[in-house]
Amino acid sequence: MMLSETNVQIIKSLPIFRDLEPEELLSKIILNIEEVDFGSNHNIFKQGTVGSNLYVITQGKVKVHIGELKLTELTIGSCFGEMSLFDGQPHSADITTIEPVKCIILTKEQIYQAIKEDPAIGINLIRVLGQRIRKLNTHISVWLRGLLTIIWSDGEYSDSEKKVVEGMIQEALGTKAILGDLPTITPSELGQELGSDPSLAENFLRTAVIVALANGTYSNEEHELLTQFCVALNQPIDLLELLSDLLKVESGSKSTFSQPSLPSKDLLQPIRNWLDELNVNTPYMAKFLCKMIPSQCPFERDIVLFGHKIVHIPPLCKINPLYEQLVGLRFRALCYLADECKEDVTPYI
Amino acid sequence: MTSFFMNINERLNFLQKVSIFQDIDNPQLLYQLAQSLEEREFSNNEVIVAQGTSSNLLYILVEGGVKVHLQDLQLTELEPGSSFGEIGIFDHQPRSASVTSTTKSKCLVLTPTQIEQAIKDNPTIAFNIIKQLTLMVRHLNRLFGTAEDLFYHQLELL
Repeated sequence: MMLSETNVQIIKSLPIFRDLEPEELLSKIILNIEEVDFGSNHNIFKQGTVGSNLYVITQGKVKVHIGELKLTELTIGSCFGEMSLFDGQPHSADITTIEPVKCIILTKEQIYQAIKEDPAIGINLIRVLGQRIRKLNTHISVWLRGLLTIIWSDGEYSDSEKKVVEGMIQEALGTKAILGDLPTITPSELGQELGSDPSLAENFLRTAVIVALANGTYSNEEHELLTQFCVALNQPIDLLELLSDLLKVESGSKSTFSQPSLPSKDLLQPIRNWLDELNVNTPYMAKFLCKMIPSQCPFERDIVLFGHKIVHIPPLCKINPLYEQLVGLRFRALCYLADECKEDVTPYI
Repeated sequence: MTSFFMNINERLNFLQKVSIFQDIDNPQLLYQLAQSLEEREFSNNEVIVAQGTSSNLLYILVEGGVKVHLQDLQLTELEPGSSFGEIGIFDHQPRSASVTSTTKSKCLVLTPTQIEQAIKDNPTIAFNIIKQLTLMVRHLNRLFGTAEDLFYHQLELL
């Protein structure tokens, strides 16, 4: 099959084939490449399966999702599937078309054959992966400095907040961290590194809010800094305003949240939605949430995050606007661990 | 020239167990490497690779232990048979993380020319390094709750 000139250009611009010489070799690879059609709403692959194809979209759009949770959309020129092809581990998300789609498919054998014939392709790939790891390393330190800046913002470097961050690192990287020497970060620095990727920015803010709440207070300083971070990351600040109305205590006050005069459900709907939208899409995230939200029914008790009281639940807990969201979130995390990861969840129950 | 801490046969035996040299097409390569690789010794708590500096050597840990870290944040610990420095071999950028010995350690060192020649003779080495780097990307992605399959998509944004 002959590929169109546009498709040849798309392939040539892929990171793995960029700057490739000699040109003829690439032409030889291109000769054997197939383009396939998928109808609308077609599942190309499922999370948890191992794949051996690299897909490049030449027409249409696909969504990256995990079950019902949509992560992002990909369109012409984007690739997917390569991680599983390279390391033999299962796909971490589903890919489904949202309109009729054409894809070029490169099989594992074709890529391996190409590297055998021209090791420069292999070297290109090593370079591309290296760049990605460099970027991730920068993100990690920026991310952690952001969280530490929140922790320090109210002048209180509490053990509980520190433990939250250290616990996260330990869960994700399986390593012990000492956070002492990382410098704080300015909102603009944070925006520069994380702002270009909306899902990364949003995940950072969610974690930052949780960290801010972990010492049992939501101080003015924390609120102001989070608002600046939000602006620097091009994220809407309305949710923070609501959180602030609901939870804020005066600076310096050590008291935990008093039961607010219950705001109307409508007013809190955005926070509820926000908690409902929290993606449980990695084993790490699921474990984190299961630990964060206690297992007992919080009927007539305090809602405790990281062992610290954040909201007192009165006997009429059902009307507490965040109750269902927190319990629902924990439930989703448990389901994810049991269903997707086939893990024994009894330690969390 | 300092005396080698391993003789040729010991080196050859060791190289055969190193993960990036698994399943290679031309076993002759390991014999050549066993004859030519440089050795380095490090005392406890010595910085082998410093974040931000430029260097493009690939290290294979023979004995001892090292940690990979960003300032105080430890990313991982490595055991004998592991390699480090892959990220910097082909891209002439400053080192993205530091590596420090956690005990008295010994390494073999490959130059970019040696590794490039090795890959040309044995493309499987490229597959092995690609696999190793891909696993590293997955590992780091977990911290951000990011789906790994977005890898190239995000790369486009850089």
